[in-house]
Amino acid sequence: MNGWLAILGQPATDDVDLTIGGLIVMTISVVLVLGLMIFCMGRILGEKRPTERHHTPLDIDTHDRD
Amino acid sequence: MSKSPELDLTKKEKWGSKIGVVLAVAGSAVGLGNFLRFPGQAVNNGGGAFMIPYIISFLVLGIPIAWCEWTMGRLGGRFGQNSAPGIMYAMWRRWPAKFVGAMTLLIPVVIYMYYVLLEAWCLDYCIEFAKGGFAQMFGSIASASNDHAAEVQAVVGATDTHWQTTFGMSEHGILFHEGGRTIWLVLICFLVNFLIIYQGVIRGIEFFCKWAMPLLILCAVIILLRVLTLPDITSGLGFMWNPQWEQLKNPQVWLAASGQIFFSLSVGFGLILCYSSYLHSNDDVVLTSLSASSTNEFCEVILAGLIVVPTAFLFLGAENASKGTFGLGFVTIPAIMHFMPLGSFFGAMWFGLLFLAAVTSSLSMLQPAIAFLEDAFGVQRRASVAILGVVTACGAALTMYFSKGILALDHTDFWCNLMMIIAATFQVLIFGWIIGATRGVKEMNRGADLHVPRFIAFVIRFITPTFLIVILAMWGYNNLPERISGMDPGRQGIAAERATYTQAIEEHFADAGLDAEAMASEVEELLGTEDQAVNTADLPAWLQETSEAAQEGRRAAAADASIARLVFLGILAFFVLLVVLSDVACRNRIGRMIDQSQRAGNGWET
Repeated sequence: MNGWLAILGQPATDDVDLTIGGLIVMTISVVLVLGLMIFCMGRILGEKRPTERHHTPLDIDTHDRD
Repeated sequence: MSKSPELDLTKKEKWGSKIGVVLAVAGSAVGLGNFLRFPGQAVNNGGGAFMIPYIISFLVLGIPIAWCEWTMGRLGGRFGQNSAPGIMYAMWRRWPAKFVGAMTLLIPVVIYMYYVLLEAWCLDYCIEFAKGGFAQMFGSIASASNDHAAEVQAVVGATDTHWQTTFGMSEHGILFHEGGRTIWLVLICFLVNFLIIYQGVIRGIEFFCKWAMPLLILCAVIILLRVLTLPDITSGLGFMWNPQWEQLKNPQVWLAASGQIFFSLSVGFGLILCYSSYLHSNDDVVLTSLSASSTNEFCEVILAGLIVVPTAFLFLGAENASKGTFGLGFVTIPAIMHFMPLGSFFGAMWFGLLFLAAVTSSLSMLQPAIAFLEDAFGVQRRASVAILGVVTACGAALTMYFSKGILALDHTDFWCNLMMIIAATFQVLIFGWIIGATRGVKEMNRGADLHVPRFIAFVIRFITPTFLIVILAMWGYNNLPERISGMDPGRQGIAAERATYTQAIEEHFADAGLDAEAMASEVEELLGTEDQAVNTADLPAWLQETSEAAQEGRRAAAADASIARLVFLGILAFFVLLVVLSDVACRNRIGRMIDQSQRAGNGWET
């Protein structure tokens, strides 16, 4: 390996096998996936239930087309 | 011509809550593939570097296909359709839609026929760990072994033997002769699955998934916390996550990553089509789909990625941590539990969560066929459950009978995987080119909290189908020739016979110091050229002693090839039957429902 890839291949410390590259890839993967899930679940769970919505007269379709 | 009576479309079931549908779809996607297949694929295809093609595949393949399926499913639901043949026919009222619909319906039913066995085996392992069966087995090994390497070998050997016995891998039919326990467990799984399905979408699937998915995730998080607090776990994490960047030049790594995303998200085989058809017409498909996909990725990347391979490497070394799906799941993981503190507890918890994951996936495989029987022929729930129960029980019994070397399971899995890619390709093409990507994305954004950007239409129209076609071509090129040759009894018999003779020749000349080339020419001189049956009359006397074993091997290999052919023809016949049934239904009840929905002003609004 050459250049910056060589740096990513070095062990984080002398006595463990997880390299800096491994640590970065693992952390990015975990943060991305966890972030996406928390964002989506937050939107889903934070959404008001239909019964809690306040309907204005304009929201109510009377099916009157005349 | 007399006018057909109007069908009552108002009685169609709908999901009770948004979180319910998210957990049900995530439950359908989260299965053994997440917990067992992903870690093996990652570690054998570049470690951390695997995540680059994996994330790209998730963005251009997984998410767009899932959005297409969710949109088509919800739209199909507005036409009163809950099964793939009806939904595809509502999208495109031409004959190819019936083929795609039938194929999409076939895949989950056939997969269920072997998946229920895996479910039963997970339950079996969970019970064994809970009652201390494995601890007892390991206890006797530990006392007999002195050093760690020998202990690892003995424990892995014991779990391997247990796996082979549980799966009935030694000979066909053994599970029916000696596997009374397995039969009972399969029956229990059938009962659990069909009881839940019988309860319907809200009271059955949604209720179960709302409890099972959080419980599954909780169990996995507890195990993850235990794993991350093990001494020296960083070496295991390094083995799994250290990137081998040079692997990115290998096209097979990209194929493996896209295949993993494709199979893991459960796209392409009608589960999402079916589940999303129970949505209300203005329910958000964009966010719901993304939520289900992200939950699946959480289970796969974080839970499975940080638990399975790191622990296996830590306790059992690189060789045992790099096994395939079944080896990792049913040999390595049980062996890990011997070395882990509170192993029986964590073993029971791990296989319990796998069992829950398998049940949530099984339910999604059964619902499309139940929906088809009800939509297409007006069959009542009790009858549809009974019909599907009988059909899947026959398939599961055959898969269980032909258990030697998991032959039937392996071949069924292969053909289903192939059909999944074909079906997904057609679905995306129908969405992008028949419905029209722009029109489709407009429909996708209906009721959406997050709007899909316009460029997704371009991705769906060009990039995703191209990606799928490339995967199909490469996957077919890599696997099809071997599979087709595996169904030729003559060729397989000759290969097995030659293998037995070759082994005898190698043993005979073991002391002669021949190199590989010299040995190969010796084999060719004695047996003749490759692909040619061995003429036993010309063999020297010392080699003729092997004739009986060689003939036995030849007969067994030819029989296995015949079974492989039988599996293929069985799936083909089932497909033809479903095409005919879909055609009949589309001409009659399904067609009438779609017409009636259109007259009522449902369906397309654009």
